[in-house]
Amino acid sequence: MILKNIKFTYLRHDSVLHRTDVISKLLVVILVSVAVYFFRNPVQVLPMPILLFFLAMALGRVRFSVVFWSFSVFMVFGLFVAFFQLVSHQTGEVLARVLFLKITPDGLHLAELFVLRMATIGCAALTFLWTTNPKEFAIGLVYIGIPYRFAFAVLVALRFLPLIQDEISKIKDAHLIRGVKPEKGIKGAFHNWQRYLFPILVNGLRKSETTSIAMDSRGFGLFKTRTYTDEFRWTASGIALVAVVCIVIVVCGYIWGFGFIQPRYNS
Amino acid sequence: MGNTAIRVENYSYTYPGAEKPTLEDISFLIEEGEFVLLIGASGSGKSTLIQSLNGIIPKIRGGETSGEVWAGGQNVADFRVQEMAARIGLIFQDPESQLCSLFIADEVAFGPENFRVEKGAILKKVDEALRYVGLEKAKRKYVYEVSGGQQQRLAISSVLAMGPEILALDDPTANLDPVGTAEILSVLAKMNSLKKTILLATPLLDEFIHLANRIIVLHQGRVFANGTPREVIGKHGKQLKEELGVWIPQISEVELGLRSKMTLNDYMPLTAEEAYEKYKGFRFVPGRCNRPGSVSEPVVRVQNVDFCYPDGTHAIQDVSFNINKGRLTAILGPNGSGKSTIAKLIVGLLPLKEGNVEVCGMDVKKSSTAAITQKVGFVFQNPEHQFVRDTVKQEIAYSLEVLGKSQAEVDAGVDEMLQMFELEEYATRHPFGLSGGQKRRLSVATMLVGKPELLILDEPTYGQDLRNVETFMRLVKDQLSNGVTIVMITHSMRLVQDYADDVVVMRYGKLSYVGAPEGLWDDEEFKQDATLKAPPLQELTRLLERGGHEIWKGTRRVDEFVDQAAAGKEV
Repeated sequence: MILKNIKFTYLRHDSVLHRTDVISKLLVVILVSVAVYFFRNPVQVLPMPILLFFLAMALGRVRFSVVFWSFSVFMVFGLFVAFFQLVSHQTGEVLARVLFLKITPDGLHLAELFVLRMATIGCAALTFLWTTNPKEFAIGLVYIGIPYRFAFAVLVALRFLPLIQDEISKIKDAHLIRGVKPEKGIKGAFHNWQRYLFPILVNGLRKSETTSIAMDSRGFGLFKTRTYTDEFRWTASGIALVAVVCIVIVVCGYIWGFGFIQPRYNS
Repeated sequence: MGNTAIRVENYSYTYPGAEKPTLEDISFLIEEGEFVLLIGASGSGKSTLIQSLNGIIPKIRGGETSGEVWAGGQNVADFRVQEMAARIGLIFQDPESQLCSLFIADEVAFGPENFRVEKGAILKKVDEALRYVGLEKAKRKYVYEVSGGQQQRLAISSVLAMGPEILALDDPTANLDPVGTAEILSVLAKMNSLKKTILLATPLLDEFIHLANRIIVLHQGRVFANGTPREVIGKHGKQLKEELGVWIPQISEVELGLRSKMTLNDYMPLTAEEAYEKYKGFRFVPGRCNRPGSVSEPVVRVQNVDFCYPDGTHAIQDVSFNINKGRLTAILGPNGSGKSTIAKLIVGLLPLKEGNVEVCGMDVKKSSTAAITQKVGFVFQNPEHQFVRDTVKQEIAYSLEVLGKSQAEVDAGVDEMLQMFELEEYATRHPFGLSGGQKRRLSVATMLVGKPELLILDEPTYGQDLRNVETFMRLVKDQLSNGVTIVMITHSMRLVQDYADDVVVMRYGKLSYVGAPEGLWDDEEFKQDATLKAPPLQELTRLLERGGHEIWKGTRRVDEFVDQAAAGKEV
């Protein structure tokens, strides 16, 4: 059930975000990613993932369950980073103790900050992925001057994401039949991925080789430029979206300050 | 006929790092408008030859070549692979990985866009090419939303949009069910009627031979035979089947069988209709063959099972059947009919909510997959998915280790399996380094080493040549004689007719037939059904019966038919 709701691919709908031009959406991803790096107060960062979460649902028509579970995958990585911050700040005042771990103000502050940064970047990237047709993305990249060979590499990678998800599910079933139960916990997840990775890589390489020669066999790379049936066009919704995000960033910066202002705790 | 479409002259090719050439001194001509079948056992060089036709070999894959390859009037060596695209189109085996776009229309537009065709003209070409393969209504769909057959038709249409006069296809129906194969067949027939040149590598001679005007046989990288289908099969049929391990038309197998028992003229029938014309004057003595009786206790009881996937797909609808002990039961049906779903429900890989399944005395609802798999083996379509260790030996040992066997038992089991499956010399090799047939044998060995009561095989002969299939089925028969029950999910009707004791047919999630394989063709519904194509032998017996001959209703194997004809000659 959970797996079915984890989507790292384009979700076809007719929504405001789907109709928004790809460069504006890309700008939003870049703006929020850079902004949260400069924000030093967790309260400053908090509006970003919330805003993006609701943008995906309200303007991108992405289901809550998909947003929630896909986003949770990013949060697993966020928690890793947070844990690392707690572990690496063990000196000074101790707010609490959890087993061997001392929770210090600096550690807690940075853990909060990094979780929220990861949440923001994850939410922005996922919203972009769900609402952007990979071909439009490739055309957008070409528009801003990226060579089309690189742009299409991105397109093909996005095209294969659903296939990899399907492959993981098959490998899980096949391993279960062999008596290999998926291990639990962080260490277990690492072991599971160790096992899954090899067949995924081998099959992935085989498939990508076929894709590559199939593309060459249809003239890919013959000329320096190529034509497109779709063209890049700026949209009003894109410009508005960038403007709104800029306003939110400026407001958050104005109220709580940017990176050059001292944080709540000394780090 | 007239101009030459493909000319290969003294062509040899050696892969980088290989000691021996994969292709050696190959020479042949294909005229414009010809439909040529390229056949040969696994590793004979078919794919290598096809990829040499537009320069993928050696320009992308590297390696050393000698001799010349000409396609569409151009020496391939003088052009880039991309430049050859307008002259020759290549279609690969796996439909999914040769498509690079997300949407069907984009996939077809991809080639013309690379050739810098103007936008309006591209859109026109997209519509024309999709109409040509009957996919115009699917234009806005995702490429992975359509069936395998439709994906292959899409691949063909994306090549056609660039306007090549030659199409070379590398086993394009390998992943397809009979419906998908029929779709490709009709597209290729249409293309050939418009004088396009077609070179098709396929093991499915029964399906395509009526379209072909020539066959080229490759054996160990050399041209073994080249001629009209009747010449090649007539002259080399026995050798192809018995020595080279290559499939020949089932009707030709009948003819060869008859020739071994009686004197016949040299005319080699290739289709059921041709065989009927030759044998209609024969007399047949219907003779019943010994088959294992169906009376044995059920190992699997499926009762009123209903299953819906989380996305709402109603995959199984009120299905009930039994699978009896010590028998080979084939589960048939088109892709998406629920075959794999029912198999996964039997082993507990999917949660059973509606209905009951009892397997080897265990209630699936109350048993874990781990408990079920102590008695049930399941071999997946892609054997690589099941490999979890670094050597062949460790891979087999693992199955016993999880059962908690002692080291002595593990060693004994591993040795037995290595010997039984002829894998001894590969014991220390990585499972991914084995050939396709060896991987398949290893995956079965890992399941059988735990001595299961039931073995489920998902498309076990997929992508295998005749020799591998025969070796594999011999092992399956050995297991049956040891009392193991086998369930085989397959599209191959020849496999079913030759080996299955019982058949379960699924369609649209519902059960449409349970019983003996021969009974399937008595049902008028199945005679008309494109999703289950009757093997040519079945068509021949039907034609002979219609012509007033009396043939045993249960006839389904070549030897059974031949015996009845031979007995008629002696009367």
